[in-house]
Amino acid sequence: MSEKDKKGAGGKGVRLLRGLASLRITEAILLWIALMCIAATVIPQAPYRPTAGVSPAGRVMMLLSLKDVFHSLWFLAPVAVLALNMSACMWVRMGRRGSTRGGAMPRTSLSEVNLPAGSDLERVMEGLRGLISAGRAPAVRDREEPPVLMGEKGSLRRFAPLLVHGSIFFILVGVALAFTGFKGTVEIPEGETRDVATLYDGTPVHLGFALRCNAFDIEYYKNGMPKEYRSRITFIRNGRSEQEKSVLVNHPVSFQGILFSQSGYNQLAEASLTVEGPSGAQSLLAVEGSMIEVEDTPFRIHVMRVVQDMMRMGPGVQLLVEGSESRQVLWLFRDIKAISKRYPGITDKVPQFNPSLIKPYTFVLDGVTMRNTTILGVNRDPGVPFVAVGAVLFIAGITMIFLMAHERVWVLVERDRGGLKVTLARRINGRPVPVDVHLVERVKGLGGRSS
Amino acid sequence: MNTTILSAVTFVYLASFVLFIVSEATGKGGWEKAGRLVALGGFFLHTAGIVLRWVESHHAGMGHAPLSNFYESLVFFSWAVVFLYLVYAWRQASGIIGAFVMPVAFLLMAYASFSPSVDSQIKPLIPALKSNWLIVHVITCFLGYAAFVLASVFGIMTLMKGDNPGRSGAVAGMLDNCLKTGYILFTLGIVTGSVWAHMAWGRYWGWDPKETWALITWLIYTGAIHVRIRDGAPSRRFVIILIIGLAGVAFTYFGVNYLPGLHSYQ
Ligand code: HEM
Repeated sequence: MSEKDKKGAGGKGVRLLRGLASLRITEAILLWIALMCIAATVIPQAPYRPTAGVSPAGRVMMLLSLKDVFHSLWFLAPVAVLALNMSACMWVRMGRRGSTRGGAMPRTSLSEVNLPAGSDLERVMEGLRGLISAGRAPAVRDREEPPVLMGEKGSLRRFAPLLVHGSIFFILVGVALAFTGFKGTVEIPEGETRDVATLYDGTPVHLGFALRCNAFDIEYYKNGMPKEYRSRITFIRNGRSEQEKSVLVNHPVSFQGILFSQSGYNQLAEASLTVEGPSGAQSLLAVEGSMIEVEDTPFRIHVMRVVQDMMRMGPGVQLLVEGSESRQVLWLFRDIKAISKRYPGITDKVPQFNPSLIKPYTFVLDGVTMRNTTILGVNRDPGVPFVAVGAVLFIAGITMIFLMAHERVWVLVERDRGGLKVTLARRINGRPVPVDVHLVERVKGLGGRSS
Repeated sequence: MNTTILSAVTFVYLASFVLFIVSEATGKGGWEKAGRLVALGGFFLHTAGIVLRWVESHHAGMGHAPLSNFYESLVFFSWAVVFLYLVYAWRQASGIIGAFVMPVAFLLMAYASFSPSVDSQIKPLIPALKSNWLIVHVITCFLGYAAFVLASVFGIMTLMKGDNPGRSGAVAGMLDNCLKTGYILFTLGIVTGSVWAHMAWGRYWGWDPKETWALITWLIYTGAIHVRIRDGAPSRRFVIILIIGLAGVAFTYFGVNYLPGLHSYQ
């Protein structure tokens, strides 16, 4: 392309870039994103729907649905456009050219001081140099003839807008990286070990290491309200206990890039049972909802309920005992002997209460104990450092914009009817502003032959 | 004891508001000075009440900064509005600002002290609220809210056909300062809030309704800043956005409690 075409093409390119950098787009996009956020709080959301095995058509539907606004195109597209708009804006308005606007001595809001005839040019220049360097970087000659001096302060402020808007990209990168991580929970009964977490959409995920809950304890205020929850966790990697840490509310623990936070707790009723049969007795531990294969017996036991006080007759369990061809419900009570005394013949009237109903076996409930289980929040989010850096830079940037001012002061000296005419000008953050009155006064003092 | 002092503060602010109305109606400076002195007195009483509540919570064996429930947030919000009013508008001897600001402080304190739905009991902190990040988060958020309230007040004033142009120049300057202070503080509020959420719930952002509405309010004020830059001076649409922003602040603070989520005070 010849020079002209390139300029022409350049012209179109620059026009496109300038158009993309227009603040009108920014205002529209910010409004659009705000409206999407409002929609997300008004329309009931279902953010954690399982996405595994969804057909492509189904995925498109998900991307367009307002059921999960923040993962839909309605929200992600404007964010992408904002990023584009902001990069164009940074390039056009805040880049090298943008930040040096307001480089030349302004022709408005000037102050003039006429020094009397015979004032010595060199001495006045020295005086002026001293004055405008006070509290500013040493004055430089901006131009030779007629001589112009320029003093500058807070020139870092010019790059603050770049810092503010650049930090937003750090945050966007951090947010994007979060999609490569996962969020869920893991429930660990005291004394047990788990290495699989359940994501919020229900899918299990292997952590690559195990956690043992050595103890879960709760501290209470005097009036019985919970004061502190603590889980003592040992992290185990390929069979070796690597670290022991306490996870508390507001004090999460991270291991191998995964953050574990104290999310909640449960109380699990656990029954200890004994099955006495012809080939001897076996003791089992059973939790509500669990299913146990009882060795060298034809039985599979479904534990339907484990209760500390069943029908006001003390600890009890309800079991469904499944044999090769028989299915039998049993209600076992720890204090069955005392109950039979209080209600003679009850095991005949209610056969399910009879521990030896299924000949030749006897099922005995030794007791029900309450076991605490701790629920830990599990969060792997590689984007967190980026978001943190972005947030810090953003706050630094807006504080710089607010507290700092980039000030430039010019002084032009011309010979005028035997005396010297000094013209002062000033810019703050690139905008011409009247010169500081005190400075003008002091410049007046430079004239005259006496000193 | 602290609640009695704080409910007394309500009436001091009401008195200050009345004095400012009288000063605007009569145009005599004396009323305006009285209004400002009464506001200052109310502010010291207000600060004493908050400090006393903090001390009382320690005596009751559940010592925590008085920033953890709805009552305490109303009281601190009102305190922040008056604090920023005194910081920004003290030099500006004009009753009209006080006449706009004091009713906000008065209404917040009245609602806190006399509404049956607000429980002013000192209560122990639930574990999730025991965090320094919480204290910084609440303080920065409410100072941010207060600055935004003041910015809207100054915004409305720039639109009113001011009798003396000098005043509108100063008001525009105060508006810019309040908006920028508010923006920095509110941004800090959101950031410290997400650090606290990261510590307490293991994630820095969960699109909880309160978080989402804080972001909505932040986006509105980001828009306001850019409209201010584009228009060069506080234009009509700029002030309209400030007022929409105020609605955002009100909904983030009050309205969201009626949406399900972690933050609801009830
Ligand atoms: C979420 C996105 C954005 C945020 C949070 C943001 C934030 C800010 C902040 C805090 C300021 C400082 C204003 C002040 O106090 O002086 C600012 C200034 C500015 N912004 Fe943005 N901005 C965003 C997007 C944009 C975009 C997309 C553009 C370009 C079209 C833009 C153009 C500007 C300009 C030109 C300034 C004035 C810089 C100066 O002071 O010289 N901003 N922005």
